[in-house]
Amino acid sequence: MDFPSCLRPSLFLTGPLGVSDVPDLSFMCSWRDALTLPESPLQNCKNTAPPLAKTLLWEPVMPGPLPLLPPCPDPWDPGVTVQDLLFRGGFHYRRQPQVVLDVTEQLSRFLWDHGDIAFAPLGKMMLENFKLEGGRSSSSSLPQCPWAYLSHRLRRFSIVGGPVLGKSVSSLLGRLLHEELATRWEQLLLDEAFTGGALAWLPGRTPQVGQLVYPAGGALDRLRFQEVSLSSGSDPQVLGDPGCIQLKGPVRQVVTSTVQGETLLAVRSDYHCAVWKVGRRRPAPQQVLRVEKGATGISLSPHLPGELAICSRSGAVCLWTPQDGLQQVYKDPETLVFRDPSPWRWADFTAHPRVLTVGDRTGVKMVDTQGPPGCGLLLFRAGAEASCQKGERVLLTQYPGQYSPESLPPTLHLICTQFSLYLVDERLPLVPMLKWNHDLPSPALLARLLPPAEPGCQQPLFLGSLGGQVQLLHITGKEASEPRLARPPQSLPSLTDSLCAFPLLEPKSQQQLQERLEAPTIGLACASPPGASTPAVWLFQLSAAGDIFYQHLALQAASSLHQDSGPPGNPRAAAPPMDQRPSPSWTPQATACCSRWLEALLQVPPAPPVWTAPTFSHRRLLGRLEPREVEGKALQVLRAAMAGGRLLQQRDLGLLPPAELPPAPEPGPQDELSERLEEAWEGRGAKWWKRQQGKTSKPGKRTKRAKRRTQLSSTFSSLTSCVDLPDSASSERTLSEARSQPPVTPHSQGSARQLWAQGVHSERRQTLGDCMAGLPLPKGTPAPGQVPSPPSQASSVRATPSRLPAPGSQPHRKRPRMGF
Amino acid sequence: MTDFSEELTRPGSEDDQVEISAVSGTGMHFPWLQEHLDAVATRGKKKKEFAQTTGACLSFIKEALLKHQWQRAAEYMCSYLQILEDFDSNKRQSATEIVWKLGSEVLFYHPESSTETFNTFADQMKNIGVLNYLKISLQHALYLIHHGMLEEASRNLSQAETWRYGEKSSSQETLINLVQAYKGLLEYFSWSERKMELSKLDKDDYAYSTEARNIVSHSWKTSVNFNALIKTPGVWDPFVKSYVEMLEFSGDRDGARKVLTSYAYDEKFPANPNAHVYLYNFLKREKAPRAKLLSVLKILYQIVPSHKLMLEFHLLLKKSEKEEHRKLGLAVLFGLLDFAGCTRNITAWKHLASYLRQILMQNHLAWVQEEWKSRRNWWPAFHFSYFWAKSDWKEDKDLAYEKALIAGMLLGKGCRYFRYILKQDHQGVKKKIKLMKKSVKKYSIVKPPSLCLAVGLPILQELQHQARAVPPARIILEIEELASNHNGGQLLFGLDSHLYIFTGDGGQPGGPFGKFGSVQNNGHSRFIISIVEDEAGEDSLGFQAPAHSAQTAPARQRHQREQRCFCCDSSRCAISHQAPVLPRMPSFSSVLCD
Repeated sequence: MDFPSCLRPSLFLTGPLGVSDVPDLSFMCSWRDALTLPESPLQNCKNTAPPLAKTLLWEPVMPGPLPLLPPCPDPWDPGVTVQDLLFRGGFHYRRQPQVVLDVTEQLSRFLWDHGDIAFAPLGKMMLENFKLEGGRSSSSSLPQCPWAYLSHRLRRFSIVGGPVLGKSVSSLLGRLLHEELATRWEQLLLDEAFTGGALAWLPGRTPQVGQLVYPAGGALDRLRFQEVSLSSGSDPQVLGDPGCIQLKGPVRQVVTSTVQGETLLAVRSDYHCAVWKVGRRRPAPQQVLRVEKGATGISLSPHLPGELAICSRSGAVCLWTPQDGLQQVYKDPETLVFRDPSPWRWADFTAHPRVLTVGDRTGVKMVDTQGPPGCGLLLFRAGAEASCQKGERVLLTQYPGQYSPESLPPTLHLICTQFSLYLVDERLPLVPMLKWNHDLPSPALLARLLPPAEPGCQQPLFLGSLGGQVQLLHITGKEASEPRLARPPQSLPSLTDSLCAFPLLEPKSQQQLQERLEAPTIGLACASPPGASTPAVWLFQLSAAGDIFYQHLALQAASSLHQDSGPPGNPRAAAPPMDQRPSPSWTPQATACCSRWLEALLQVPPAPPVWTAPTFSHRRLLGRLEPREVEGKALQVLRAAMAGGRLLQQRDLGLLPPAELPPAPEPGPQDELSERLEEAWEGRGAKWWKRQQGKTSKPGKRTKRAKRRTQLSSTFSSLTSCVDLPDSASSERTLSEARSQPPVTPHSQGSARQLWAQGVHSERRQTLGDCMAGLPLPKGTPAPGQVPSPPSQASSVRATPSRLPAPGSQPHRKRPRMGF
Repeated sequence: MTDFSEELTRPGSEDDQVEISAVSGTGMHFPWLQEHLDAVATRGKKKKEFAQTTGACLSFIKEALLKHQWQRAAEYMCSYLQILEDFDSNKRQSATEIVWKLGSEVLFYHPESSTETFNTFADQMKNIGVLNYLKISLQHALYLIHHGMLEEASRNLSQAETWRYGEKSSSQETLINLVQAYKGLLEYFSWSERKMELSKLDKDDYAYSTEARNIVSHSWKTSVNFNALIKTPGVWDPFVKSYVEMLEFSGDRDGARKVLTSYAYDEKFPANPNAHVYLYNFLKREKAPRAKLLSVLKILYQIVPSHKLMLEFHLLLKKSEKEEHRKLGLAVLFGLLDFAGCTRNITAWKHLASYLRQILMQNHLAWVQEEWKSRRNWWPAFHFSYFWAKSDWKEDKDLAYEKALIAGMLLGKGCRYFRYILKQDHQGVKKKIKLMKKSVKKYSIVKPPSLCLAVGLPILQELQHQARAVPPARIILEIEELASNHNGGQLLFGLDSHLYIFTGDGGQPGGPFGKFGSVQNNGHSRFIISIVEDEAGEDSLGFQAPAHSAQTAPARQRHQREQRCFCCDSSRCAISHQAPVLPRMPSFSSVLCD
């Protein structure tokens, strides 16, 4: 194998973080990876041409994922949320975020809801020793106060024993509850069970047909094999009913691997691991392994058929081979680099079939299975070597395997932390070849690398997080060159992005749909049928609710990215820039598919509540009441709606006069706020603000303070000036129009948080625009009234066409020259 | 079922730790924790509006960048710049870094931006964050180099080089060293250009000598730039490479050697394979003695056994007179072929085939066996499986031929890979295959065949003659030290369709017989093995214990890779007509692992 002959310069520090006073070179931006150092100026001219030729990149074709299968018939309940666990009166805005588990609230809820469980045992214990009913006056038939019969003995006992009994029971209960809440909270922060993902793609007989393997059922204990046919022209077709294997525990991880023409399937459950051989007929079970302490990871060898590595919470790593059976390779209850309480372990293979990687939260080590036990070489360390951040821990390590001469070298390992993604070459341990700060808002536990679509092409790497966000990275680099990003990583549409493809619903059903779409993503699989006329990648996502969604990506020529455009004198490539391409929109088939899926979803019965407060049935009451004849129509309709358990809607009551904007309030006494509100109501808020600005601003001071910013912002505004975007007022109008259509609810516009943020932004934008208005404007900055609106608002409105104008609709203005 | 017993005795201290970690934190940082907390907190000091808006704006910029909406990001960027006016000086400091990071990214990718815009932005940012001056200058220079504007980059770096602020800290010094090194690299580019021009000049020309002198002095000046940085631990491949080239040109060979040696052997540096490669190439150019080259490559072999220089290393070792070196030469080849990326390296296979032949001719069977010992249980499946035989033959016949030859030598004639290639009826390679057959016969390391093979094979071959359905002969079992007494070596087919192999005893109790002694010695054993052929065919050959012997004698189960054997003491054997037919052993079992 060829090793890159010249590596990128980088500092090498050792040891834990923050010990040595050396500059933090991680400040380097993402475009650093795109930079190339010329070997020598003469070679440079020759070398730039070939990479230009092949910049075909994957682009999402659909605006959001679509459901592949009908919804899982079992109800989905998001389970415990942060609101349930944490103390709600917690303090906002601390430098150190502080977590307070709300045990008292939970305990009091429990005592209220399950009083019988909480207090009955104590009563039963007491019952044996005390007769509460008293002895003598039992002959009296009248109900009397039970306290009257308390004996002296009992009273003494209650005085002496009361505090002890009450305290010990509640403290015991409290301790247990606290423990439980702590584990739940930990799980909520990082649910490591699904590390690696529970969805896998099995290639089938023909390149176009394959099988998706995934767990189904509410308990995720049914392993399903669903045949899917992929053709590049249309949506994936589901073929026949899925095959099913009933297991005894929830499936946490599904791994497949095809070695030497033999396809194997490995499944990890909490305490069991199993391997199947997948042939033409039913999958044949090969081995079942029991893991006493709980399995944390399983991986199949990409080199030798049937070999697999398993690791357990105890710190043991075992290799199972068909010939030798189970063999313990490594065992260390302690973590590799420094002490970390997490029992999570991971094992994978390397380019050498007899060397495994063993990972935990603190690092990754290479261990020779044939060597003496315990020794090995550290491949990755959560420390200064990889310039990690404070508190950075390994979440996933993966060996992509599957080597071909045109792909990345087989020595690369992928390591994910909560901040970054690293590519490490096992030939140069500890020094990452590539680092990308992914900034995902939830733990990144899923990663899939696909082979290049064409020889010499980039390899797409999908990085998925539990929260449903998927990022796509294009990685180039063959054996003799370092891996690097072919272009800046891109985030793919997530499940919540396809919310607007569904028909609008009543709030309750909308809530149900949204909850369903927001369920954590627990599996990621991708398939690229080889030999297709137009290469395509299908990305499948499995949600914790048991639904599978798919996305389609197509290969498109890269637009004019700077890194390959050579010297700046060259005219830029003719392809339109990325953000001015028409963004994909929903097709009628897609929306039809979504509404079919939704119909099925609404038939799924809601999850039965664990416990509900006793209620009375209004229907029983309704039957007893005699309908009175004098009732108006509205009352009758109301009655009918109540009997049917429906919501009373406007259309049930007949036509109402169309809703109009209430008239602006009468001008009252002149205070600033009401004046502003009044103007804003009429849509002249900006002008009012400008007027106000003129009254109160002290130009000298402001100019001085904001000068620096204006200078900087002119750099960016020179970019924005050349396109003409609709002013904010018009986009506000479309939004309000969209809102006034019944039965649109704020929920349909995306989450409430987003709305809030958008609101904040538009206001901020306004102020800023006005701020800049007070300054001597450089030529080319947009006029304050025309501060461009973010397209996100436009895109959040359903069925609004892309409002990005064609490139170069206005002549390019001369850029202001700032600085000197 | 396998059980790791220490598991059960571990003290249960784990739970306590978990609880502490949940509440007080394990030291692990969760970027999404703040969001959770914000969702529940209702009391206390709220974030200032300013912080809220800038936070929201930052998240919008990040989102736009991830969606490649450079236009939108630029718009938000305009608004985000207000963070530079934050009252909190700490925040202002970190804000400059964020602004630079995001702003430069936008400007780098935005289709409308030009180097001019970028320069303006960078110059302004340098002066805003005084502490970031060096970092930003460095990245700015890299940007310029990438765009081919070497002169401007060089001017930038010279400016940064002379910049000082406050007390000189070690971190500043490292950065200045980096700046100098990049400047040196730029100077190296212009130097190599002049060198190219020089090479066009006539050597006898008057201009040549003055120009050469100039270049030498130029290189002398440039090399000072690298000097400081390459003493700091790191990966400095481009710098070291150009430094050495210039040193060599000016005739300072000792200096170049010193630089390369310290780059390769300094403990503080990462184990960079390139450092050793550079040193090796330098020594080769210098025509250093072979021992020196070998010592450099030996270290490279320990770091990266899959490096392509290993073939060169092998050739050097092969030529060496030392026995130890020639032995290492074999290990190097085996080590290279262990790796997944090297399996189709035909040169390596060719070298291995010829070297194996050479070594076996020189009667060093032990060397081969030593290397083979650790690989015998996985190389057959890894290299010599039926699948590879088919695909290698289809894709690369030469490779298939070489591999088949080696498979034959290492695994014997029964190996599937060898047999598959042998069966191929190809016009062009008939002669080759004939040759291959010959060398396998001559050099196979399974040469001293066990008695079982010697006894068993004739029978199987005879069977093969009688019925075509029987697959060709292959080794199913090897027995070390077959004793000849007590019917040792006898083969009998039982009525239960088992093949009984008699291994003999081994003399008196405790008597010295070979390595294992007699069966009465309790430890190792001589045994009767019965073999049954499955109907499914050759793939699922099962080994079972004869029931009667298991009943009459104390049986000990012994795992010998895929075989299940029963051993028992026996002194006489014959097929009895009442032998019961055995039930099959279950082929899958649940195994406990932990």
